[in-house]
Amino acid sequence: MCAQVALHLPLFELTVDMVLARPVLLSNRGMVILSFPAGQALTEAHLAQLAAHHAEYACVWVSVAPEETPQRRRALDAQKARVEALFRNASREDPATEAFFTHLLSFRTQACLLA
Amino acid sequence: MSPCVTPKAVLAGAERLPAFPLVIGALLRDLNNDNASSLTLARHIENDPVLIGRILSAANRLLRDEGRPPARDVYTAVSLIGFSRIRHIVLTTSIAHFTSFFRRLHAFWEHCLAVGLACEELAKAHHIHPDHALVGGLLHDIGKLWMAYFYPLEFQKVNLRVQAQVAPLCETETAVFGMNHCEIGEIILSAWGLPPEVCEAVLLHHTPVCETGASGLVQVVYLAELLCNALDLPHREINQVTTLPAWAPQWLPLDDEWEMHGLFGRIQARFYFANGFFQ
Repeated sequence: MCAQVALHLPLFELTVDMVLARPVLLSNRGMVILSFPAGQALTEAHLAQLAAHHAEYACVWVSVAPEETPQRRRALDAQKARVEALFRNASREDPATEAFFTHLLSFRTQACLLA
Repeated sequence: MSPCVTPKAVLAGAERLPAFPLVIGALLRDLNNDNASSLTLARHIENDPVLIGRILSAANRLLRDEGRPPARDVYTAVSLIGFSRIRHIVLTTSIAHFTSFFRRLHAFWEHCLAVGLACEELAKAHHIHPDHALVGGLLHDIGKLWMAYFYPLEFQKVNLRVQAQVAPLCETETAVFGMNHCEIGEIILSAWGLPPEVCEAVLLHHTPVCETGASGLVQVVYLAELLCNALDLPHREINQVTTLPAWAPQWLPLDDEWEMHGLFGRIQARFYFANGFFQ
């Protein structure tokens, strides 16, 4: 079975059969107007409801390609280099800054792992 | 010779900028009231003929995507689209239209949009007024617009020095202009009647202090820009992440990767969605 990552996708990238990784909860002036649980597989009806209630995105599970390819390796290295460049003037000895670096790197490299 | 900008010069220049939609300040004042109604919102919109056109265009685009008939007046648009959504559209399209006068600065608008959305996400998590956060984020770099509009050569000089890492941005701006973009922005927004907490957040958005900003908006705008730079929304060579201030762990879930990924993901997805809306 393929490993999966949870990705937030804008509404126009959501498709049928994608499975929600996080619940969808839309509200208007404090009242819940739409709610789907994590684990819900999206159908045409779900997508129509998301659009009708002006959802902007949803978090879904996306499969990760199992094999490491040269392209994936290059993409991962490029992301790591970019994140390190972003932190060029930061002190990573500070625990909070280092934690932020770690979370950012793992988030930004997720897209490189997709099947 | 450097311009040596003064507060008086900033105000005089602000009057010559393209007209800022005064509905923004009025909306923020009136919608602060929990009892503010759709009627209040519609009345603000209908006072501005240009805004009416923009709101109906934006609302009907959404309605068309859903296969619903178009709205022909503001009251119908508000009732069909919903209070929260229309409020969001009013604020973002008004500011987008204002900044569209500066057409060469497309990346500027994308950055402001991203920071505005990030401010909203942080505000929601910390029970801060979302409209103030959104507007603070969208307008946090208004001082740069002022500089670029009136002193384009000096503005470019500052950018080149910053890219060459000669000195930090605000320090370089002060050396060239006598003031930095945060100070200029605060003067402009105060003159335009925006709430004091929004003006303070713009003034301090490069200064990681925690003593001021009782509303939390200072911290929100500061962190929102840091998050957008970290996510390259949009990609700019000058993007960077500085050492987090001591109060940051109280505002970011740094001990929880799932929550941090959630925050990153929401900001990024909302940016891509909104950016498509404004194309």
